Amino acid sequence: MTGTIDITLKVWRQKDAASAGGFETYEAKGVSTEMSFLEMLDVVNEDLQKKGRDPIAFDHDCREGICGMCSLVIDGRAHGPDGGQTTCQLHMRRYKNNDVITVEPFRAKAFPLVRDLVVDRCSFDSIMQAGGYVSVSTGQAPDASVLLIPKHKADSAMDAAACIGCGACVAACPNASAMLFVAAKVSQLAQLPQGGPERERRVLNMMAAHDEAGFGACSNEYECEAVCPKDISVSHIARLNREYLRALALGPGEHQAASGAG
Amino acid sequence: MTLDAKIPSGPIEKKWDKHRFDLKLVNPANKRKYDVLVVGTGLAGASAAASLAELGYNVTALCIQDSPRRAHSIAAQGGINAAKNYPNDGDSVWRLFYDTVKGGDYRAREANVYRLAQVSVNIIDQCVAQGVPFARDYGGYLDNRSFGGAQVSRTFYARGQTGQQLLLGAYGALSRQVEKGKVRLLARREMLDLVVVNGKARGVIARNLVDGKIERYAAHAVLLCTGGYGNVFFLSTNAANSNVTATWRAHRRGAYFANPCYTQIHPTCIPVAGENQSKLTLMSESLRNDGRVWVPKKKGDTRAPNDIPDAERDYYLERRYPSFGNLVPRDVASRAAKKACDEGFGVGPTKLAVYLDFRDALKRVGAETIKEKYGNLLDMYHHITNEDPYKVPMRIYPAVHYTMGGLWVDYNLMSTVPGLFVLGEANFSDHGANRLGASALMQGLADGYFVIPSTLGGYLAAGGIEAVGTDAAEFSEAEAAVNARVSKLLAVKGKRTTLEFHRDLGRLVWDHCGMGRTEAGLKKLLTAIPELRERFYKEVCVLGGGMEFNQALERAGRVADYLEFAELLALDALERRESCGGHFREEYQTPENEARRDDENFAHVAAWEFKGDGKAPARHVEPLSFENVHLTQRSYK
Amino acid sequence: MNTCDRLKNSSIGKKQVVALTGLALVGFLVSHLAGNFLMFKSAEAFDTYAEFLEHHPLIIPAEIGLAAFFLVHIVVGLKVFVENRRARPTRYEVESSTSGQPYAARWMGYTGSLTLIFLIVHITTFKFLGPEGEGASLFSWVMFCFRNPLYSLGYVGAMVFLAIHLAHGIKSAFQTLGVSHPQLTPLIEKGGVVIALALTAGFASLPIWALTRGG
Repeated sequence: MTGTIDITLKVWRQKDAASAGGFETYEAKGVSTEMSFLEMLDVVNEDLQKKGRDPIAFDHDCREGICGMCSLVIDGRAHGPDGGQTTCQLHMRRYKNNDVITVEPFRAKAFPLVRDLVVDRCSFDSIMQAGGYVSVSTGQAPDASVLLIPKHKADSAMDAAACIGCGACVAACPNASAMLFVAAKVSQLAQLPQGGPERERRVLNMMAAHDEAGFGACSNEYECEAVCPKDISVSHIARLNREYLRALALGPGEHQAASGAG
Repeated sequence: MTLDAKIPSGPIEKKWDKHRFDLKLVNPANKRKYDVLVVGTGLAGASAAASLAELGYNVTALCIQDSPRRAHSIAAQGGINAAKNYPNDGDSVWRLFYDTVKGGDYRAREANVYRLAQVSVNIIDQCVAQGVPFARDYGGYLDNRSFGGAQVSRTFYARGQTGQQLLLGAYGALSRQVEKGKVRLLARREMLDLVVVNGKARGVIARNLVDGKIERYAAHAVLLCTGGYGNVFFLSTNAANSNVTATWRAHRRGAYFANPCYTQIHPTCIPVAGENQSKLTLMSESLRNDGRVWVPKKKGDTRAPNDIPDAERDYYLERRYPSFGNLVPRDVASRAAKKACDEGFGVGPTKLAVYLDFRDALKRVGAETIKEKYGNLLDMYHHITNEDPYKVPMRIYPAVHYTMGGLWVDYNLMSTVPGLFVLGEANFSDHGANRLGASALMQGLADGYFVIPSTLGGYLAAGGIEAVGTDAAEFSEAEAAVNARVSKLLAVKGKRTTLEFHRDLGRLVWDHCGMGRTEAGLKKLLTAIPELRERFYKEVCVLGGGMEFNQALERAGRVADYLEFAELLALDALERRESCGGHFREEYQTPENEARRDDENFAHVAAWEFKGDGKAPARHVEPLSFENVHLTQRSYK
Repeated sequence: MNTCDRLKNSSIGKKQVVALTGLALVGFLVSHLAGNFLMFKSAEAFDTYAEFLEHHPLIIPAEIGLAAFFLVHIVVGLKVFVENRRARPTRYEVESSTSGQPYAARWMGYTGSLTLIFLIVHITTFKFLGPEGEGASLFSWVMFCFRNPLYSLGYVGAMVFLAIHLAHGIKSAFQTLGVSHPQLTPLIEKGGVVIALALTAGFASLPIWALTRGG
């Protein structure tokens, strides 16, 4: 089961947003197939540093597929070849001896590059700040059992809520659209009674923030769904579209009109 | 300095209410005059920042990742405890309190734990109101599961992603306040020092990780919500960015560090597979609800697990602990696994693993139900090991997971530096020597949503906090110290990488201060760590500059602090001459190999005071008095 | 921002405008094809129908409305297409598709543009050129054009692009308008392709028929 392989890496290197970038090639010999992809990069980086060369910068944190920090487009696919998992869950057993692997950062206008393979995804935070929550302050909540939520609704809301905000949907989308990301939150809260009072306002404001950040529009190619590490379905995008139409028809509500936002 | 925990008087059920009444309040109109700095945006930090902003304080939140949503609270899988007693199985605030104190091996502060149990019910209410999609049954009511160390079902869960959903709830609340302009959120910032002015915590020095600029932040109070120090072991279930730097730097500025030797080894993790492994992955304890732990009865049995008949399997937890069975607390389960492997019954290629088997549960309830309950966990296992847990028993082994020790805080969550509050895993207060499953989420949110909003007001309203700007001399001094440390690391220009040093340190600490600790081993560790530290400053290689995005530099700073902290960890373990919870001294065990406490001499909190580089830290003691829980030898038989 | 601005300026709004106009245009194509099929019946039937349409009092408003639908569909569609390209200023070194979706979706801007070029030629040919006045037969003119192999080839080719456009466009429009259902959506997806192919086959059958009919 355990073995070693030699691989060639073509990696995007770029010192910072202002500098020009380009691909550099590295040979990695004797890579254990039990390693994860990121551990392989760790080893390459160790080697680079010992040669006095700057290590490759890449984002990572939990290394168990839940924090959404790791990214990378590997051979043209966000989070690597398999779908349904994050880069940190990709293992070298997926590769063969002498494979050439091209590693690029997530590319989108709304995800400016920080260094090498690291991008800035704070545009996702801006979208969430525009309404990705239920406006309840600490202490206001009634007893949890007051609210009855049918199991299938809770389950479907949970399907959407599983989004880890990694941005692979944006990276994979030919239009760098973040519709699946927005849809995940809108769909979660639209299906729950807690999300009811702000339903129209939320979808309009989140989409305004989405557009403002420079993400593209959805052209229903479903590349996002194919790479989503949490298998979030594009049916949530349909719900987002529905919610948007509904909000267009009903208007954002008094609250927003009063605050002049939007 | 004497350690005054400021525990309110009166019966335990009334303490918190009485205390909240006694605390001075900040007038609503005055709250906006106070600046509060929150370092860390996990469950504790995000919930605190949001709740304080809702009250009207001006909050600045520093976050080490690119977004608060990535804090390591997100990786908590199994669930969150609350004394709701929805299943009608005899739970109560008192029972949750009792279980937690007992689970912590009687080394936690009663008053804190009782308060935790009290507010646990409010946490669930709050999270449901935020839209956290907890599991529900067909009637629409909330579902519960059971967890280690309890005989009631009080754990609320959202599939295997409870931490994620709770964190996203808190992140939502935080985002709402950012939108309202009440929270200034600064991502990719790492706190590198605490600024103390006239004896009070008044700000921090942080590094902007994107451009390397050293920045000053001033406030009327500082909240550290920066998590635990499990990565001192190098291999742990913690995230790569989890570090001790914030708490360690605060410690060096006067905050006492309490019980660092209380580290939790989680029994159900995926075993180490190779040399270059960078982290260990936890498999939620909830799996022990339906999975059965076993090893072959025959030493060195190399048969495939499914070929070993029941009669030749030793379900050792069920055998040794018939009443709790597979659901014994974590420390007990971890030691039992270690014992089985030490005695030669281990399985898998490294022989450092035991089986966690779903065969019987799959037969009993079917694959669909198991998938619904644990699907994502079993998939994760499949991804990592390339083995299908629906077909082959999982292999698991204990790994460092959580640290009960942390900065000492009083009942108000304030450290020994006035104005410095410590929340969540970063403090030491509620779990004693061992944390029960599904209690970390509870504590982080209790601290952030319900405790700090009251106690911070009490501190601020008491007055005496003069105006201090970032131009104060103390800020300049702290910034200069940070710059000097950065320059020092960059100047070494050695040949060994930070990762190599971290791995070396981890191995040392795991070998001598891991699941089993001995006096000889700890003493050896105490000489080995300073040697390694010395080598580090001679041989470490940190490329690049300080004024750029430089992950090697970030890591080097963290490892440098671990190299200091590890010594305190070893010293605390050496000085605590008893076994309790996660701290197991081989010399102190019962004939059945269980932890043997010494309540006579060690029923206290050990809080360490930093005395300067090269000087021995001072050990202070906060005696623990147990008025409501009867101290017994913990038994889960 | 009011509802009208949102439809005009937001990414979903624009898509929904494109989807609605697109579906309406599919409706138009169906009726157009039905009319075309009168050619199979007889030259008289077709010419009478053409005559009827030409002198119908509502033809001018109908044509203006139709032109508006086309215009909105084209302008907003192209706007979205251009904006979408701007959302990723740096392309990937390795381009790939993971979804397994045909490239029809990615080519909407191109297939649409080609269809537009066809549209201009088509309207010029059959509306502004050709015989005028009393006794002029549209049927003869159509047959004349279609018997030119080059014209027919171009016509059939354009219909292929239209098919590619609609194969994605129809199902995509339903998704954009929020119609998604575990049982219904697969039917819509298949139905969309069937309609696209049927329309194309229908339109293309005329020049092929004209070419093969002889003399």
